[in-house]
Amino acid sequence: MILTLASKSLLNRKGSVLLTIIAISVSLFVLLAVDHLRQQTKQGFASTISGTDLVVGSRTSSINLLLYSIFHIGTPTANLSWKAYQNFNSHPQIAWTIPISLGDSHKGYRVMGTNDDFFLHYNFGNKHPLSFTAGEKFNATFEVVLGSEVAKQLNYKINDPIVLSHGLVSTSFSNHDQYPFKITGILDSTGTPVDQTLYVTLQGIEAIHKNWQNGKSEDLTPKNITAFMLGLTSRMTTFKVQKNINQYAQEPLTAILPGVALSELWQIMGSVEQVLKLISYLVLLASLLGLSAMLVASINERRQEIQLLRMIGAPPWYIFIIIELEAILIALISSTICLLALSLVLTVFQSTLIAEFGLRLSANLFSMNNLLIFALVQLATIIAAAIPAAIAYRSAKHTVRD
Amino acid sequence: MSISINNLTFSYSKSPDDLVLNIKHWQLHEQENLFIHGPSGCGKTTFLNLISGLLTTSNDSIKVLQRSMNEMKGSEIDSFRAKNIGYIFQTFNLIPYLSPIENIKIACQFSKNNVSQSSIKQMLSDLHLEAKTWHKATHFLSMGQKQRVAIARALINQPKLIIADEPTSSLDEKNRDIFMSLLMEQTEKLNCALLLVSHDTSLSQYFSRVESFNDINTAGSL
Repeated sequence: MILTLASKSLLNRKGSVLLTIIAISVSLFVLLAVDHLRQQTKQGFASTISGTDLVVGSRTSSINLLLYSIFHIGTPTANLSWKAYQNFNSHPQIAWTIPISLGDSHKGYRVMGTNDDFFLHYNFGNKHPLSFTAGEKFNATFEVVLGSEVAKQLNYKINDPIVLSHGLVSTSFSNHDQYPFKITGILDSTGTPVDQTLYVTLQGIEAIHKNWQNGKSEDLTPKNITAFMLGLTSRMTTFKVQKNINQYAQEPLTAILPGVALSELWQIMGSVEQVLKLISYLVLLASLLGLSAMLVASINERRQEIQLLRMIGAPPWYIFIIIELEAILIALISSTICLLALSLVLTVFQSTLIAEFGLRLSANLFSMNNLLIFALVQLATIIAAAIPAAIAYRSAKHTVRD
Repeated sequence: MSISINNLTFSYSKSPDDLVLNIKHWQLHEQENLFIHGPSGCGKTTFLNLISGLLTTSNDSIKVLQRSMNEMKGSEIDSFRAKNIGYIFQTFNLIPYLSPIENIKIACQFSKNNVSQSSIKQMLSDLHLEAKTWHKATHFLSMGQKQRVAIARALINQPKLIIADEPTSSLDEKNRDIFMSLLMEQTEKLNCALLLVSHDTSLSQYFSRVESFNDINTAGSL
């Protein structure tokens, strides 16, 4: 009965209640979206590289190296020589290497020069190897393999010819027009930057930069590469090999553990995260105070109602509970609206997010963390509503019919 | 005895000169129908608030149904009121956004009285309320209909005392007559005492005992 009373009372005040519900929904939406984005980005970054023990590039900061070599964010500062790469490729404790050569693009998507080992040894997520949706890996100099998003967004099929551009902008004037590449394979979707990348052979990269004429046989061994990933024969030797590389006498090199570099990155992002979190909690607080203000205002309108309830025998705490119940109902409705809206937005904008930011966000919002947030919101609502409820209680306690 | 008052004095301020009520001795018998008339502003509502326990005095001057009102705790008074006293006011007898049936159910909730839906409906039809009004929010009802629902609400818990404070003052003549005859009929059926307070002396015809509030309350008169 008390629930009927509370819900019908809310329905009776549709206007102000609806606005309050919208305010709380929006603030909850901000809170949840920020939190979801944060978690999913972290997860996305963490799942991009797996099974790789070290990433090696020319001397630079570890975060910088990680970002440009693996996530294709930013530009490499310097290259490392092919000689150095060869040297470590034959290192007894190194099981495999994947060379990375960056600098070209195709319609805004990055092109990475590498070799067969990439398809063999690169893992993502939970040690998940790469697989092909269509076709197979490149076998010749002018062949290219596409990440799933590249193929999807640009609508490419196997055997289509494409032209690479020098540099990273999609409107580059310096196209390598004479050297069209043939698509031999399209990779399965991975939810990592792999999806936004085109893969060619190191020779292919070399050829287009050397103005190589077809048929002319010339040495296409690269002079240098951007970076390389490596896997060890035994993980026990990680720090030894890292030290070896860092102390390489011929050339200044940096070897990083991808996991360590990622956590360094999170440390830097930490304060930004905290600020975002703080802002979203403040927005929520503001909307809950709005709820409180709405309820306080309603109590004046409802003085007669409170008097009547008292006359037919309602104890003052009953009035307190009604106000709290109304607040809880509003918070529950807002939470539901926010969940539905966020799921909808994530589903509708998923492809845009992937294309624009390479962000793959799960539309599943039912995590332990979110449950905790909702519980917290309910608690905050109960506390915020205690003010109007206490005012109503006092008014009920001292009610006199006049 | 339904109500008995001995040496009651009441004042909203601390000053003894501002006495609102000063009643030496006054009683309402069981099953008695009493009409008290008096102009507005003479302390009638204060008098009723004291009887219902919304206002309290420091001394043992008011007994309702043999219970001394200042002996009971706040929560006891609330449930005592829910169980034993039925109220009808001039206006705002009902929660406007609830239906007549829901309004009556709330009253039953506070008295912890299990009343079946069918007996509520029976009561409403006894009071000439058509079935189509039963589930409508009461703010859609006419004043006459509202006041009749108020009778049902006041009587559903079979209280021993009905207090009506200017219950007909918002009604036209025709509705007033319907209201009064239904009220008298129902209270007689329940064998409960009725205390009706109004400025409208024409209501005297329905009552066996009629008093002027100025005769009961000597505050203000010299």
